[in-house]
Amino acid sequence: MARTLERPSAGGTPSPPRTTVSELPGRGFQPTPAGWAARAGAVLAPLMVGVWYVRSNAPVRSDALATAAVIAIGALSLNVLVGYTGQISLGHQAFIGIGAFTSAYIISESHQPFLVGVVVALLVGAVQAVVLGLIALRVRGLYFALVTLAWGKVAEQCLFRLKSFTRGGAGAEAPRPSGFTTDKAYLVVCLVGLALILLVDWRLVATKAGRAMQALRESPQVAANYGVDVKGYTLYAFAVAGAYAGVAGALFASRRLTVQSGDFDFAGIALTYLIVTVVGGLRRRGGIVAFSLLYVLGGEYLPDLARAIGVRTIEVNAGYYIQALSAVLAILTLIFQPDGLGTITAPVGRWLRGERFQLAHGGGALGRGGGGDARP
Amino acid sequence: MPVLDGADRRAPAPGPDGDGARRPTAVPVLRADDVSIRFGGLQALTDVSVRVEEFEIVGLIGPNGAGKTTIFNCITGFYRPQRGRILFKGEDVSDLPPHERSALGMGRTFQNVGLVKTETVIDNMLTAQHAAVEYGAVAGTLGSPPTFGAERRLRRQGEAILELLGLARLRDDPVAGLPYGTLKRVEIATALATDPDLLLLDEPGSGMGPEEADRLGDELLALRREFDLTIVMIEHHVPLVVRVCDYVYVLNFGQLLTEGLPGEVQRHPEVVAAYLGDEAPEAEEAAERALEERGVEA
Repeated sequence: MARTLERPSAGGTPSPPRTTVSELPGRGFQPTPAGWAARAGAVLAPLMVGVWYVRSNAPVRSDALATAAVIAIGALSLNVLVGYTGQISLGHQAFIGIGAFTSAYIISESHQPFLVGVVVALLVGAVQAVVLGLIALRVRGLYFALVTLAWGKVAEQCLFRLKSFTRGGAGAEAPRPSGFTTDKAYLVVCLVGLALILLVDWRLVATKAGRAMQALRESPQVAANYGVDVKGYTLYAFAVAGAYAGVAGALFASRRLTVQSGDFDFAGIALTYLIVTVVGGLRRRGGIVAFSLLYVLGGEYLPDLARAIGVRTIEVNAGYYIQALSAVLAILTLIFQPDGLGTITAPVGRWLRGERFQLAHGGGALGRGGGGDARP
Repeated sequence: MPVLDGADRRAPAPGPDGDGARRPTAVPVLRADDVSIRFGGLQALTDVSVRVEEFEIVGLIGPNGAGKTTIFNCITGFYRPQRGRILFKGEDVSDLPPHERSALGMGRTFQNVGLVKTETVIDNMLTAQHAAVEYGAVAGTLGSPPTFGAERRLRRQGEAILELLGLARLRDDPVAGLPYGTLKRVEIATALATDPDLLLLDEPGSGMGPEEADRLGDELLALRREFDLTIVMIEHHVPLVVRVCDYVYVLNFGQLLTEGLPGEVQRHPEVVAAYLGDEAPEAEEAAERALEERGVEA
């Protein structure tokens, strides 16, 4: 056995060839001024289309966009659980509904301003989610999915029928903030809400809490070994998801002006939001927002399209067709393109931030089969 | 952490002093006292006591199923022994969960590579610094301004460790897809990122050829100096153990078979019988060569 044995001298460092970080390829790429202009154009053009769309159409169109914003926030809430943390919620109608009824109660029964309603909905949403999280620490996988399913049903059938909380069948009133009562103005409120949630979500993932969640999704052992309190951060993930959902619920309620228990059912909320999350792409917030928009716009324009091509059954039942189509899309996504719309939005996002445009990237979960990934 | 300043270099560990006894200190870095653990009908460990002094490299050897990884799991808190105590830097940590022991300064690698596989190497380095992060989880989530600077410092620290181990070019590579030997090295980098005083390595040389194992030995010695480390390692590669370890514990069937300086242990008749088995002559020979190269009187 031939060997070169050199014990390292004092101050000696390991032998393999050294590369310093600054020498790495890809560092220091700067777009040209034209490149930056193209990026600015790519941001401004859709914004202008959006403004034109809202201004040149009936108010119902801005209401549709507000719906998209609410769905996006709800789906981002699911993304925290399903995407980042590897937990599951099949009872998100409870999350959203509790936010909606709480906000409605605060505004119309306690006569507090809209903003107070949103904040209380956020807190109550977080608390109810943490309670569910405490169960998640004891029951895992399929069994926990069943618990969330049950929680959704309990909320739907019992909690939301408490007359003192939800005003029963008559519905709870949730007036919009003064000055934002029109659909167009309320769309601005929803967009601000979505923007704030997106900012929080960005920082969540970029800092230690997000990293902790992603580590414990894959291996609680590795996470604990890295110093992550597995129980604490599981609960933290539920709290964040519940807070997002509380905001979504509050915005949902004031968009409708009155909410009833029937508004929060499994198929309409929990399943729909889950499908939006999956097709948009787990851990791909851009994709999730994009698909929320597509989902709502699809529902808006499918009847017109069906009328144009003369298929009456689709025209009448457009809502069902959209749901069925999304479900099929979700299945196809899971099989063929686990990153969903994120496959497209993620490279665009990196390009907008000043990197080269390239579809595959070293980071993220793009097409790399890591074990332990909890997809629903 | 000493990586960035590079100034603080401790004297090398107390070497073997020839008569087979170590100079015990009042407060060893690690003490496992009479640790026993049973899984159902299987007595995995029986009254195992281990002592590790500061700046030592201690080897833990024994045949498969001897309980080596089990004692690691007891030390790091993944298992709770039914009997016995774990003392770390003089403090009884027997009741602490793994993440608190990690935060106190226990770094560990796993037999089957403990990395977050869907993430990149640098993201693993950032996650591994979890306990050292100076801001709170909520402040980070809400985007409080100081967290931006803190994140940049974490990244620089992670990159510095990668550079030190010659892994800088892997920075943005996803962990999944790296070859096994590289993963073992990346895992050591992440363990170092947790800023350990005590590093527990579970078969760091597995999957390596003799020359790679040699290089690993050099690296471990250098890392001990660079990071002021105390190291415990489970390792099957006897020449590597003999070369770098100051002291060796031998486990067999969940019990301590013997302990001592690498030179003695490796000649111990029971060790030869229990551990080396039929391969004994060949392995012993290799170990002896390593010992000679080390300059220790055989």
